[in-house]
Amino acid sequence: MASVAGLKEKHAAATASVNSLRERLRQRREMLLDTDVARYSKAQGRAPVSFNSTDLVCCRTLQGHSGKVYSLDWTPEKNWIVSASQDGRLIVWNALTSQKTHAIKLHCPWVMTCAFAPNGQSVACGGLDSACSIFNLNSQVDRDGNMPVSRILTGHKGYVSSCQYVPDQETRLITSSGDQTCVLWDVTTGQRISIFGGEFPSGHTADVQSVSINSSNTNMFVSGSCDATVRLWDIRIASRAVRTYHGHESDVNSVKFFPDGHRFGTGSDDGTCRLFDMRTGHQLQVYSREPDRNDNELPTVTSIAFSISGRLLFAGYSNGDCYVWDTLLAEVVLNLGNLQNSHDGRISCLGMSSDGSALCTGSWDKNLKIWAFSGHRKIV
Amino acid sequence: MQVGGGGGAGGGDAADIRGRHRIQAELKKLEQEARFLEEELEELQKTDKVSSALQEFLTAMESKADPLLPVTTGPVNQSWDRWFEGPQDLRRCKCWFL
Repeated sequence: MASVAGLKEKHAAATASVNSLRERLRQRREMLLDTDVARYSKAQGRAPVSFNSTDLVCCRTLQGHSGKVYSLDWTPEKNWIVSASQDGRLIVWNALTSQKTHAIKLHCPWVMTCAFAPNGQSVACGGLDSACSIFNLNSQVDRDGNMPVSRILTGHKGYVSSCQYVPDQETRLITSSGDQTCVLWDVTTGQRISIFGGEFPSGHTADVQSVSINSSNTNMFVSGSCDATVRLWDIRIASRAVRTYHGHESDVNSVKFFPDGHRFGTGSDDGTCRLFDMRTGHQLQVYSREPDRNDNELPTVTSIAFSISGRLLFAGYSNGDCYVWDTLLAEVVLNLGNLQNSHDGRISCLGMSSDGSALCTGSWDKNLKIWAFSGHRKIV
Repeated sequence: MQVGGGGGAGGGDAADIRGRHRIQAELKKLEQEARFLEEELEELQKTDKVSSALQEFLTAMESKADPLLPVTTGPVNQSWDRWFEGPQDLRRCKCWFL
C-alpha cells in the first residue's frame, strides 16, 4: 500500500501539473485575444449611445417593504413583479398600477432571492434557511391572513443565493447555494433532479451567488461564484461543468445571459462587469469604472441586466450608482443613481421586463423603481 | 506493510488511514482536473480568435428593436409607452412618484 509520504509527493506533483496546465491555457487564450468589443466597434465606426437628461426616467416607485429589497423578478407575460426583502416578506406588484396584489409573510425572514414561475401563478424564494419555498398565488390565505407554502425544496447544505425557473417549464427550478453547488429541482415532487458541483472536480470551490438560464437553449445555464469564476452547465450532464470562465479577480455576484444566448455578462466584487463568449470561453470585454478621485474603495457590482438588444448593460453598484454601459463601446452613458428621483441607497437587484420596455431596480432604501424611455425615439 | 508518519499507538494508525484516504481522494480530483484542462487546451487549438465572431455580434445586436434606446431599429410596439399612459400626461409632469 502506498505510503502517506509517497502519496503526498504524488499530490504535490499533480498540483504542479494542474498549475502548469492552467498557466498554458491562460497564455494560449491571451494569444487569441486579438481585440475586444470596444476596439472592434470603434474601428467599425460605431458611435456611443447618447441620452438626453430626460430620456430614461423613473416612472414608478413601488413602496411597501419595511426593509432592504434584496431580489426581484418580472413575470414573462404580465406587468407583475415579485420582490423579496429583509422585512421577511415577498410582495407581488402590478408594476403598471403600482398596486400590491400579494404580500407573503415568510417562515424564514432571511430571504435572499425570489423568482416568478413562467405562468405567473407561483413564486419561489430562498435564503438562509437553505431551502427554496414555493407559493401558489391562487391559494387561499389561512385564518391569520398568511399564504400557505405549496412546497419546500430542501437538500442544500448552505444558503440559497439565487433561484430561477426554467423558462416554459413550470415544474423545474434551478438554485445556487452557499454549499458550492447548483441544483435542478422538480417543483411538483420536491425532488432534486441533478446536483451541479459538490463532489465533482469541475464544480465551484466556493459559495455560488447567482445563476442564469439560457433562454435560447434552456439546457444550458451559467453560475457565478465567490471562487471568482463562472461555470457553464448542461442540465443533462451534471457530472462536470462544460466550461469554466476565468478573468474576474474576486467574487462573481451576478451573471446574466446576453439576449442572443451566445454570450453572458457578469458583475463582481472586483468592481468590473465582463462579457464572455459562451462557446469559445473568450473574455470579450471588461467594463471598468474610473478610479475614485478621492481614492475611496472601489464600489462592487451587485447586479446586472441587459436591455433587450443587449446594447445597454445596466449595473448596480454598492455605492448606489446604477451605471448604464454602452455594451459595444464600453462607455458609461448614464448613471441612474444621479437622476432625479433615484434611489437613496445601494441597488441590490435589477430586472428587465420581458418586452424590454422597462427596467426595475430594487434597493436597500426599501423601494423598487421602474425606469422607462420617455424621450423621442428615432427609428432607423 | 509500511505506515508512513504517525505514531505507533492505535489512534495514530487510524488517523494515518484517514489521512491516506483523504490524500488519495484529492489526488484523484487533481488527476481528473488535469485531464479536463488538457482537453480544454486541445479544444483551444481549434478555437478562433475573438475578432472572428464580432461582426455577427454587432449585426445581431443592431437588428433587434430596443425600447430603451434613443435610436433603434423597428418595428416599434405601441405598448412600450404604456408606462406613460394614464390619467395624467406624465411626460410633462415631473412627479413620477405614483
